[in-house]
This record gives sequence, C-alpha cells and structure tokens, in this order.
Amino acid sequence: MLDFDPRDRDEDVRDIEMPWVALRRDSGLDREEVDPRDPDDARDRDRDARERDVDPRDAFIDGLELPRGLEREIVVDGDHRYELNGDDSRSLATVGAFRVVPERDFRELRDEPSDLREPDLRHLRDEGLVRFVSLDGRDRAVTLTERGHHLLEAHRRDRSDEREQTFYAGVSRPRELSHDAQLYGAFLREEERLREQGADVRRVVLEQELKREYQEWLQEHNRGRADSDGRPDRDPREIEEWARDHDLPYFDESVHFPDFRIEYALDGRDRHQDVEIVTDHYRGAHAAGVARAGFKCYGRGGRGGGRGFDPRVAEELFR
Amino acid sequence: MMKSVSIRLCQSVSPSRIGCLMRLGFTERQARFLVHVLVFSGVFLERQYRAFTGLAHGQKTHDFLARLVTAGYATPITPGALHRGRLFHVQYKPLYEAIGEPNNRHRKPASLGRFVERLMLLDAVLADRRYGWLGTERDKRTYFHEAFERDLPDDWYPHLSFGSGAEQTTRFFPEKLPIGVPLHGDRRHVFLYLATRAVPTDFRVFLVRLADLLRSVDEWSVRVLLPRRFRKAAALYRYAVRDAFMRPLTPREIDELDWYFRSRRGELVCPSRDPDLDLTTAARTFGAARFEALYRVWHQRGVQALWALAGGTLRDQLHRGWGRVEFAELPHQYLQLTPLVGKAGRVEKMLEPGDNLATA
Repeated sequence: MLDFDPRDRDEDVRDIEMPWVALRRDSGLDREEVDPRDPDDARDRDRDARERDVDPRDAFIDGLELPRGLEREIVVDGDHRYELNGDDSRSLATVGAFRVVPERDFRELRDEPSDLREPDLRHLRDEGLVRFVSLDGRDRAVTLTERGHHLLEAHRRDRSDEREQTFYAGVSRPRELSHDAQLYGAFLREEERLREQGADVRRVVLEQELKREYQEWLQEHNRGRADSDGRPDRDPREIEEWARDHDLPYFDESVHFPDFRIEYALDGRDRHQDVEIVTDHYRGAHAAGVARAGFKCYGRGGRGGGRGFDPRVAEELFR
Repeated sequence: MMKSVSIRLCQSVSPSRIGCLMRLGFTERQARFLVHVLVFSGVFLERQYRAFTGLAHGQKTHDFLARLVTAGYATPITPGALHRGRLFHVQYKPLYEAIGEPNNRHRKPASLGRFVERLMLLDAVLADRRYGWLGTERDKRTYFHEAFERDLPDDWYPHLSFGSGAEQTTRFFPEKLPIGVPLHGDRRHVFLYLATRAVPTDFRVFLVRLADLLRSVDEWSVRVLLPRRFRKAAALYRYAVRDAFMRPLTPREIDELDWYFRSRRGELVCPSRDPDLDLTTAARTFGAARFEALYRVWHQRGVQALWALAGGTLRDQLHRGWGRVEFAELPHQYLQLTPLVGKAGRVEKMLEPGDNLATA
C-alpha cells in the first residue's frame, strides 16, 4: 500500500499542459471556411477570449459541474430536473457564495437594461432555486432556496476539497440584510482591481465561515466533554498565534474579522485580500478598529448605486 | 512496447476498400472520400466533399451528388429552413458490403443530433492527415492485436458487455470514435473524443474505460473536439482529465470504493474494514463527479475498473509528454444544428424530387 495519498501532490495536479490545437493545420483544402485568424494563434486567441470574456462570477462555478454554455441544459438533482445555462449557473453560484445579492448588481454586470436581464433571475426563481427578498422597500435582492443550495452541493466537482467555495441559502440576519447585500458590490470592485494586476480569484470566504473556524478551534478541547462549562481554555497568546497563522489582526485582546476574504492566486502564489463594508453607522471606536485592522474598506455607492460613501465616515476611519 | 504494424492495417481507408468502390464506377478521389464517409460518419456535407477533393462548387460536385441520390446510394436531408443546407446520408447497403461492413450502423437512420455529431467526427478525421484513422471496431481490434502481438488481455480494451452467460455480447471501443495511428515513423496515437455536453460526465467514463489501453500505448494524445458552443466547457474537461489521470486511486481507496459501490447497489456487505467509514461518510466522501463515473464503469466491469486508475503510470506519461491531452475547436456551423448535439430527435425532412442539388 502506498504510504501517501497521491492526491496530496498538488504540483502534479497543476503542472501538465492541455493545449488547444488547430484542426486545420494539415488539410490545406478547406480554405474558404477556415477561420481567418492564424490557426497557430490558438493559444493567443484563447487568452484574448478569456480576457475579453471575463465574468467575475466565473470563480464561483469553478468547482461545480453545471452547464456553462449559452443553451439551457437539463440538470438533474435527485427527483428534480432543472434547465440551466451558463448564465444561470454563474448567477446561482454567486448568490450562494454571498448569501444575498442585490438584483441591480447582476443587472449592471451585464450592462443591459433591467427588462432584458430580469427574465434570467426570474427563470431561477420559477425553477424554485432562488427567491427574492425586499431591501429597504425599494430594491430587492436574491437569495438561494434550500433546493438551490442542494443543487450546488450536489454538483460539486470534488467534495473532499476543503478549500472549495462555501454556499449559503436564505437570509441569516434580517437586521443585517442591508449590510450583507453590499458585499457583492464590494467584491466586484475589488475583483476588478485584482484582475488588473493579473490575479486569478479562487473563492470568497465570508466572515461567518472565518468565525466558525475560529470557534471550532476555541472549543476544540471542550468537544465531547460532558463536564465542560463551554468556556474556551485558550490563552491570549495562543489566540494571537492563531490569528497570525490566519493572517487576521489581533489587538484589544481579540481577533478582528473582515466581512469577507477574497482568496486569489498571483504570480504563482496563493494570496488573499480582506474586505470590510463601512456604513454611516461606523463611528468612534468601531470605526477606528476597522481602520486599525487594515482591511480594504468599501462604502455604499459606486457600482452598486445608492448613496455615495460619506466622507465623514472616511474621516472617522482614518483619523 | 508496441510493434510496428503493416501500413495496410493502420487505416480504415485502405487501398483495397477504395478499389472496391472504384469498381462501382467512382473515380479514385470520389471512392476515397466515400470510404471515409462509410467508415467514419455515414453522412457528409457538400463542403466536406469539396474540401476533401479541392473542387470548387460547380458541375463536378453537382454530378457526384446527383449520382449518389438518383442511384439511391444516398438520401439528402434538409433540416429546418430551405437554403440552410443539406446533408447526405449514405445508406445503400451494397456500398457497405463492398467495403466489408454490411452491418455498419452508419447505414441506419438516426436523429439529426447524431448525424451532426458524425459530421463533426468526419471533419476531425479529414483535417489531420498525419495519421491513419481507424473507424470500425474490427479495424481497431486488428490493429492493436498486431501492435501488442496479442499480449493485451481483452479486458484491457474499452468495452461494454450485454447479456450474460453464453448469450453475452461484448462490444469493443463502444464509443465508436476514430483513433489516429502513426504513419510515418511517429509513435503517437490519437484518441478522439467529441464533447456533446457542457458537463463532462460521459467524458469521465470514456477516460476510465480507456485507461488500461492508454497505459499500454507508447505515446498517445486524447484530442477533445469541442463544438464552438462548448468552448468554455474546456475547463471542466481539463478537470476531468486531472481527476482521472493525475490523482491515482490508492489500494485503500479502491477497497473503500468497492465496498461503497456494492452497498450502493443494494448488496449485503459487511461493515467496512475502516471503522470510521460508514455509508453516510462514504456517500459524502465519494459523492464527487469522478466517483460517479467510476461507479458507472464499476457497474459494468467490477473492481477491475477501479484498478485501471491505480498507480502512477498515466500521470508519469503525462508528465513526460508521452501522454497528452489537447483540445480542438470545431469551427463550423453544421447547418446551424449544433444545439442538437447530444440530444435525441428525429430526421426532419427528406429532399423532395426535383430539388436542385446544386443549392445543397
């Protein structure tokens, strides 16, 4: 028996090339129908196409086996059958990754008027995969249903990969809905910036996932103990070390978590960017803490519409 | 190590088959093209004939097509709107008999989607003349038997078995995809795969079935043909290759998978040897797409199918460049019928008597 799992050898999984080849190189006959571009430029064409066709939602379907083309295809999940195309798959995975996404953010992604864009989300709703929730009585956002969540989980490419995108269904904190609905807008801006640097976004980790990992570590020694009082037995030094291992700021005797973390690859290395949404309510010590944490801060406005970032908030943050 | 094989066995479009059709009154060029059609697709488009022969659209092409239709050798099929184009289904049994393939399924009617898939395969074969191409099950078996000097067990060839006991029938190379064989001192074999879906479920099964044969071939390429509409699916197909060939199964995983698959099939099994592995855990651990494909092949071949993916031979072949996976985009529109690929359907409309073939 082998004494290692070959699947652990990541470099093996990554470093083989699977190139595009041109079919017409040797036939030399079908001139009138040959693609006018140089067939030897297939790789360049591939790269150009990628650059041209970048869709920030692509990162979220990377680990899923769902349709990616223009045509809708039948997707089976248990007894349910759905019809999805690539756009549906991307929207579904993106909603799952951020838990709640304003409808307007999808609209603006496509630069299409709302009446053209809307049917796609309506299709997902009609299929029972997403539902709409009201935002401030003006806009609405979309979130996964349990069926939508199940569909994504059932079509994971590799369920043993712990670094795969986590998906969520439903609204977790109704009071925070307005705040949570801003995450995707912030992601779009940060993703654009990262992409310009040549980064390849792999996944997004929401605050609650980071906190869950932290809590699991805190309670590790209490797990399974009937006599436990539920209080963690980690001392501040251990906690600080955990925070350092996870590249999270630790000060004022606590670990500080961003609203979400973008994990990406750049120049062959895995990196991440922590992002925090700041609102008008960020004041005083809270705002100062966010500034000290060193997270990338985004306010309302910009791509997502709504009110612009209040300069007074910035003043609070960076004083 | 594979043995050098007579060039006569390296291609289905053999001189003897071409000669047989020439005796029916076709020119060498026409006969060569027709043998390609009979062996690889059963259907063709006018532009494929023109590209193959180097002829422009004109009288000669018209005469050839008219002869095929009026003699009853081929049936023109006009799918959808007029002027979108026609395809020609060569269904005349004596033609197939002449090349020694009287029961070839290309002769039978099929759905438009299947016809379009075959047109794509014909394009892929006609486009690459560096290789001899094998199309029929018999030609493939004969070639590999010779090349391996009959050392390779039958179970190592991709196959599907039907029935049981004395009535069991085994089909080798069940996907019926052309295989390219080196002609000029090269050692590389090319295994074509036509993507008919954006999700590579069937491709994973194809890779598992092919694994044993690939391990025995000196140098090989799996060439994935992607219709334009599936171009973006290349990423998923790459993952499928990595899952199948770059992540070999360990003996322990094979034990666990065999136990899980037998449980899943409803067999009464003892608890797993691993005390931490129960059905719930196994279903979660082995729920990924790669294991679904393994289950399908395991269902047909048993645990031997799993052993085909053990060991690092295929991974090493890929690392050393002896094995290679490449993607080729099919650039044509196929009468704008590519959405039918991978779907069932029926033949829509036959040519009406008196229709002008030159507009085909």
